[in-house]
Amino acid sequence: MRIYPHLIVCEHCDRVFHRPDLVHGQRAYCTVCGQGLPCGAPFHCERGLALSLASVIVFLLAMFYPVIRIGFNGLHSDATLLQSALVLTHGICAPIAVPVTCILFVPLVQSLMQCWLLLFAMQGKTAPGFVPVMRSSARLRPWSMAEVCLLAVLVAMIKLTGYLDVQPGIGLWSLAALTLLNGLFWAQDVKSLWEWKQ
Amino acid sequence: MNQLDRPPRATELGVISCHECTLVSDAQNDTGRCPRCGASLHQRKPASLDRTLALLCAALILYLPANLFPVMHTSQFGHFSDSTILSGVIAFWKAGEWDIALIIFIASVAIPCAKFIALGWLVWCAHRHAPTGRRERTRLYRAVEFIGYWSMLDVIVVGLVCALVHFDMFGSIEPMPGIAFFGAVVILTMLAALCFDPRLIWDDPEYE
Repeated sequence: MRIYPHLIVCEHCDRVFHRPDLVHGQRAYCTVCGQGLPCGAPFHCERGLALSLASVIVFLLAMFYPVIRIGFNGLHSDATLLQSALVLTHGICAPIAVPVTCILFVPLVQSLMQCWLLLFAMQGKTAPGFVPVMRSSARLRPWSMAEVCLLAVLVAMIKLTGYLDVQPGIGLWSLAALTLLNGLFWAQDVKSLWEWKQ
Repeated sequence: MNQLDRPPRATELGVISCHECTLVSDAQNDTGRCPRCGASLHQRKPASLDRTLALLCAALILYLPANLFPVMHTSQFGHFSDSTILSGVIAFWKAGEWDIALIIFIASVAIPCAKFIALGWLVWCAHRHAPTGRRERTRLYRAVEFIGYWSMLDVIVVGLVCALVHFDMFGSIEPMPGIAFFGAVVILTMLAALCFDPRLIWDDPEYE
């Protein structure tokens, strides 16, 4: 069977193009439907690894440190993101707590997978389990919701300010950093890593 | 742009692109798998329109209890009250906090409704092979894909507020079944968007 590495097919309208040579920061668009083509500039492994490692650290801070601290008549309370998912397990809402908790951990799983792939790629090797790891990482992409969590924390803060004394916690800052790091990582063409597969 | 000026379709050239690793190979393939990553190859996502429609209907059915059941139960100094998604929006609006009311309204009401209408329309047009507005419909699909997960906002807000406010007799907030239904609606509509194949927008039996 023949393969055509010099071709690229638009994922939205099935048109075939010659794969363009792009430099960092360039993007190619389909001339028919106007959507981005699934190709990009070569992936920088060092940059990607640095971003992934930083994401892992920041994620742990975001998940296990309180995002909001509230005070009321001398009483204090705080909550982490994980606690807010687990509180849904009480009572009748329990079924939704499972997917919500899973979704919270998606950024961590993704970052760990990327670290694994890139540690080997840096040495010019293909990581063990390359195919399933690459595939799962791409499949998890739509379920990574760091930025949604960030906005949710801000909305919850504004919601409570009227009645209580509200302060941001370490988790909130970490969450903002995580959003930024994730954005920078996915701005690169992660699919070009497939070329490491021999 | 004239039909003839356009680049050829993959189906016309007899090639197929792997949806996982984007490698282009011959469509006539004994194994039916991508030679690079081993993913199963198919010209279009299997049973795309049926699956999208089924998930969309399921989401639409669950959207009713999501709005009718309360999402939060508040107790404060012995007073109890339940709030639904809409009553929460209205309460913020009346309190003069129109900005926060607007964010919650967009995330919990406008986006899910827009998704139902947009995906339903995309499925209907793809089914009829509607010839006009293909570029715009592709853009609409991208928008649906992009905005979909923002609706998860409300679920996390409810979880956070309930985790924070538990001062025993002074006041506490508990999650109610409405939020579970709403979370299910968001997940189902996201799955529906993932099942839809935008290439069906461009398929035209008359042209081929």
